[in-house]
Amino acid sequence: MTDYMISAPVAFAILLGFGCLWVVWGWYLGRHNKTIEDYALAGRNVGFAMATATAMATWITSNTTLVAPQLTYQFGVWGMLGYSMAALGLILFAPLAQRIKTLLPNGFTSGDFMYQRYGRFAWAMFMIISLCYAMGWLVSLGMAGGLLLSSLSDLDYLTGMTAILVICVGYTLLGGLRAVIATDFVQSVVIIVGVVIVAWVCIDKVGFSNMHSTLSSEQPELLNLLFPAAIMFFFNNVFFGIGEIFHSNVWWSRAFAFAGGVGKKSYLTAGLLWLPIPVVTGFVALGATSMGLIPPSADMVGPMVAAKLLGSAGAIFIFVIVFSALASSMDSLLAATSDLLTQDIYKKLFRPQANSEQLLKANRNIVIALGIGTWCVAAFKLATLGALLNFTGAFVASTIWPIVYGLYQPRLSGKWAGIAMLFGTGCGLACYFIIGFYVAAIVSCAVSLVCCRLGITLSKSEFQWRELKE
Amino acid sequence: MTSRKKRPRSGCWVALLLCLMGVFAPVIAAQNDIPMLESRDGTATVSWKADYSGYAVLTVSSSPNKVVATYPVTETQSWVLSGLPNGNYTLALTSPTQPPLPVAELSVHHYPLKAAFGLFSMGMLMFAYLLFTLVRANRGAAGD
Repeated sequence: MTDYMISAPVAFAILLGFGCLWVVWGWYLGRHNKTIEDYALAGRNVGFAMATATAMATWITSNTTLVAPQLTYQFGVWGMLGYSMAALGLILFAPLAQRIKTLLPNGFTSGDFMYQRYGRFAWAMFMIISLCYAMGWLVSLGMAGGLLLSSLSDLDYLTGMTAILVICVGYTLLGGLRAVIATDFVQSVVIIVGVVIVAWVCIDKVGFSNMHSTLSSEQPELLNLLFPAAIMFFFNNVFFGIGEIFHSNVWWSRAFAFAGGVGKKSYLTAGLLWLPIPVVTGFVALGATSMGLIPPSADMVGPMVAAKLLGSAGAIFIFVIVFSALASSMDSLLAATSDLLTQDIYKKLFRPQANSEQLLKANRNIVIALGIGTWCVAAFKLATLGALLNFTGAFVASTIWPIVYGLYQPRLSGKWAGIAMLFGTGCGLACYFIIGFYVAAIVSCAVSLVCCRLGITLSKSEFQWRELKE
Repeated sequence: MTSRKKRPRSGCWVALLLCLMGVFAPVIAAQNDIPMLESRDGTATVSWKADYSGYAVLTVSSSPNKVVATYPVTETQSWVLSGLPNGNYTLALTSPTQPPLPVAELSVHHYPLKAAFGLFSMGMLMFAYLLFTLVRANRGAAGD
């Protein structure tokens, strides 16, 4: 045990306090949910402030609070900047959100769009990719909860992972998207204030010159702008972030839930506000060596540095910030993935005649099943967070072009969209294993683009946009 | 006929070589028991072992015994090293009361810059094309 560790009873008390607060609030917000539209899309009338906060808070996640410092610790300045480029996903999704709302005013999920626009083959490919990604992200969030607790307190990995899952499943189950958006709003304020304080203390206590001299002598590659692996990683992360946002139902369900005209403005604002956050969270990792810290796992460097800087009271502070970040993403992902499974698997394949009440019941059961499934996989702790997340990069980056062309280019057919996703993912995964995680997304996206362009060139028919509204 | 005469002789040599390998292999293995780590990105993980208990500092030295970095030892915790430039490093545990314990030999050989910039250029071009596609498509959609 190190000097900044939170004792087991205190850590347990924080978990219990947070858990009760979020679950009771979730229940309060969700008590008027009567239909599947209320539960899954918050009545399709979310305003600008809430919309911006939920978009930003959802994107501030274990990725930002744990993986951004990890990548900075591994790739230095490039890692930090490359990670912040994930904001481009939110910014570029802004016009897409408007287009989605216009083309599918009554849509529910991203799967809905793929099915209507491209047909069964591309939809099946998309669902496999989407569910692989959702499970990868959910598992990484569960793992992050466990890592957070084990690095900051005397509680073990399994306890932390179980606690975050139980709390998030609890309030998502009771409150639906309305609870998710409201808790995201509060969580985003806590996160922003928290990370700014940590960075300020880091600069104040460690100092730029001390940090620079230590890095120059002990970890010189972290300051090297010609660091090959980091240069390879830069655009890989850009396309990974874009792929994550463009395809995921987390963002599509928000585009459907936001009031008319709100989507474009709120995604753009959220992206611009999010941009500096990974720089701030990643920056603290550069101070690790100056403070005599070396992480046992690269993804633990952020909490370790922050807790060391702020002492034992600070460890509680960090605990609250990272816990908020994890919860704000996990609840969104649980809600969006359960919608996707309810609408695209349960309703489409098994119960086409299901009424709103049956769908609501199925949705809630799926939330619980997702929680249990995530626990079972996360318990094994198979990889580091960064490696696990970037593994899914090969999947999601292959969907970028089929989504973009699906929304704007009527000549791309379902057959070629499906082929683009299949070959893109295959080649991305091959490069992930042969070269490394930092090339998976970019290769996947490039192969998918070639397939899409080929499909457009060879196509003889055009899709009629009005078919989406029917 | 000639070849028949040679066969038993070469067979003897092979048998002798195998015997020698059998005798000396454990000795050679014991001398080279230190794990050899390779890294293409300057990052390496050194896992904790029970033998490391009691040591105070992990030292990273470059080939001519020049100490590059030192890190504290925390019982049961592994170490993730990062930011190392090209070169060969010796990782050893030291303590005021015990002789140094070699932990691993690390060889860092970064990817060639040409390959990195090739991938970077491909990413930049594809990103520019994505921007161009979105801007043009949105103008077209607004005009519809």
